[in-house]
Amino acid sequence: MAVMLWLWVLLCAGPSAAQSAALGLYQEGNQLYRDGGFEVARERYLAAVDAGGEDVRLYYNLGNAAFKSGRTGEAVVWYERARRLSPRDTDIVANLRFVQRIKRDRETAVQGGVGDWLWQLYLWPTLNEIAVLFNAGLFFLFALAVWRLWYGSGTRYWIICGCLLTIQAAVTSTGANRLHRHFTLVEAVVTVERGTARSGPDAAQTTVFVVHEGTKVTVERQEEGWFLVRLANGLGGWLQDADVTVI
Amino acid sequence: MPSLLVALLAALVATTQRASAQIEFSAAVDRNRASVAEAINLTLTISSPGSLDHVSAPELDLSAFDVFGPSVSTRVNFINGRSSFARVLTYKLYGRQPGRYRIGPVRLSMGGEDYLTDVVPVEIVRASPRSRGGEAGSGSGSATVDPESALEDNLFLRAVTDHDTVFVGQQVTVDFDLCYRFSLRDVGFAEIPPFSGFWLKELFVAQRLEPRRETIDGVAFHVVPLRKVALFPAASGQLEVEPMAVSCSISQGRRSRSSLFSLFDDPLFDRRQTVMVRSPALPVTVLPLPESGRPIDFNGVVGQFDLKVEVNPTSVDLGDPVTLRISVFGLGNMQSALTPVTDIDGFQVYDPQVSEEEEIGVAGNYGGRRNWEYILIPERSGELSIPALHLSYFDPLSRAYRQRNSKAIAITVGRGELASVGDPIFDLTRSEIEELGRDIRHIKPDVDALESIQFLHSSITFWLLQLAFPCAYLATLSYRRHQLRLSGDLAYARRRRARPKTERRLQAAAEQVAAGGGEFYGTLMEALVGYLADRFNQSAPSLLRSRCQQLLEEREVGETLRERFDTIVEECERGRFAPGFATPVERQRLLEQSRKFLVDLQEEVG
Repeated sequence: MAVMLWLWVLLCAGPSAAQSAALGLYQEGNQLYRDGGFEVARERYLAAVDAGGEDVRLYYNLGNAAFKSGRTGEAVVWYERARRLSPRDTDIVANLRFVQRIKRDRETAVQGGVGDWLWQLYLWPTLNEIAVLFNAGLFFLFALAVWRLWYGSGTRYWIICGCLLTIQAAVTSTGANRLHRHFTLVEAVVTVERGTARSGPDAAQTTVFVVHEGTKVTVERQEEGWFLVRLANGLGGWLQDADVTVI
Repeated sequence: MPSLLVALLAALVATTQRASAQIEFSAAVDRNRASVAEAINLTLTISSPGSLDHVSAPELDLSAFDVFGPSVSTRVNFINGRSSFARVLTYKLYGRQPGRYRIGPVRLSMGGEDYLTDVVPVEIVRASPRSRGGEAGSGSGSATVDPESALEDNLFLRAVTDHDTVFVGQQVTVDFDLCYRFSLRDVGFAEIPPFSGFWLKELFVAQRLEPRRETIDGVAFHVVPLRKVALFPAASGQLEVEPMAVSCSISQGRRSRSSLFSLFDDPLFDRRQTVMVRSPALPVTVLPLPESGRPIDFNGVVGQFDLKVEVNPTSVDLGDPVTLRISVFGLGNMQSALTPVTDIDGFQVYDPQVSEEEEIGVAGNYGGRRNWEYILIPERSGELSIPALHLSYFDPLSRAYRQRNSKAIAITVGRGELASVGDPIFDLTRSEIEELGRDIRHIKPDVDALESIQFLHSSITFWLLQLAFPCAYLATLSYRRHQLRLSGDLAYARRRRARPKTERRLQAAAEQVAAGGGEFYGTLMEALVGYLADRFNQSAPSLLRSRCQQLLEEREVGETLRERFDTIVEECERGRFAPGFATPVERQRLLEQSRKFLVDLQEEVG
């Protein structure tokens, strides 16, 4: 019993110590950033991440420090990582938009209209929010089923049931799709000034296009130090893994 | 033709020479007689054997004409090895009114001496000289219009007013239309009237000729609207809309009798003549505004207007700004509408921002909207009020003064901090703030703790929760069915309640163990028989000992258990009728036997 208790204490104490170390580095990085030491601040933030820091604010501040240090590609990587955790954070969205404006490659934007609106709605909630919504839906369906045991069902009951089931189906399908995307979609950002994409995983292959720092790509395959990447406009090519950083 | 020669001769002879000097100064016209629409070319020639670098402008009075020019040219002549210079100034003159005029003598000051030309007589007639028989033709000799009709009968500028008698400030709309039966080119405004005595608003100015067909006095004309103005007389009396002049060129080409509109259309042999047409002066009688019924606050607004007053917000803290918007809108000239508010009790009133929106109705009625936007700062807390505002105007249609009134607006001013005088409370100019530079947003602040990423979908609790709902539903469903059976199936209800009911009776019997009376046995008996009655859905009073044995046999209860029941019941009956025969210990033993019997019975019958 005593051994188990000690194990529990150790398990609990481990992450806490790492978090406090990361917190110290985060605060230190913030102070350095405020003093204008962007490069040193970036190093502190990176050390905080290495120490186990996974906070969205840490990622965001690291993106800022990278941007101020002249690393546009790295800044995009950290902003994107932060956005995955907090997709509606206006600071993250604004800084990403700012970097999009100044970087060299123009990525094909999603067209406006209903499709764009639905796409924004699809990306609007976090995975945890979808999980809570899903459970809330289940709870209400359970409550409706229990209600029927005592009070029976009428037209209004079935209308409410239909609406709730439709919402639950939408939440479920969105959640399943987002989970699939979470586990399968690999995105990366070009972190070198100029990356040459080739027709095969070999430097001797034909150059198919050139991308520049900060451009986001989708990784389709990985092979011997090369990534097969796809651009937003559909172009595909092989980039050396040193040229990109996976988000 | 003789008259033309005479005219040319007269023009050439109309020169003067100053014999005493080398400089010669002369004046000549290309024709001495012209209509108001036709140009007279006046040529002033300065000749000198030496250079003419510094020549002052000649002094001449041409107030009776519309003057274009002068165009200046210089000639150098070599005759017998001697050079001479000549500077020629050419004026194009259009007579304003028919009559006889004298041009000159023209004075030229040069080298400290004055040179004078002879007087040149000219006559301006109403009709075209050529159309009147070419009395003093210019020498061109070719008729430009149908001999039977005057130039002015085929080309004129029409001016029309909608009212000839108006009140001071009332709109007079004047249309200037060019009416013609020629092929016109190079139409342009030669003279725009100053519209003295009127406040002017241009309603329309033609950018290109867009003629429409119109029959005037039985003759078909092309009519082009050139200009439309709204005039607002500033003072009473007899005013006049001055003439407007338009220049254009018409063809001097061949005649055609087939059609008036194709008279000069042949571009191959087309020669053109510049003419000027002038609209007639239009008298306008301006009546003064009536004295009777004039409101005290009337300040000269004439037309039909309305008044709108808005305040936002109506509840503020002390020192916070309140916006007061006043709009005057309608038909008429709002330039005389004065600033409606200068001081409001309890408020500091800042200069308003004034904006205007013009509107021109289909009939050319000028109007629009004038807005005043005030910023008011409450100077004390409590219930303040924007007083009612009044707008007085004269309606020329009904010939009466009217008044529009707004309602007083209450403003609740709460407690707050009143900024000291001179503090920049807000930007009163209300201009858009310009973006001067762009950058990324600043870092997030320090925090007490960093959050770790925990996805709910990777938590086992989350997935267990998914199972919890179906399980909870099944449990609820089972409970509900049980409830329904309890209420609908009496045998089931009695069977389910038999055990707890018996437990309560046994508990009562246990409390009677020490008492030593017959109640213990009665209670114990009641518990046992009651249990059998409930368990097998029988009526308890009808259950005698033999019936109980029969029921146990029917449920295939074992022999041993039936005997145990029989023994307990026998002891109970004995104890009820001979209360002193057993000790408390024996009663307690009997109670335990009974409990054990019930447990065993339940196990056996299920």
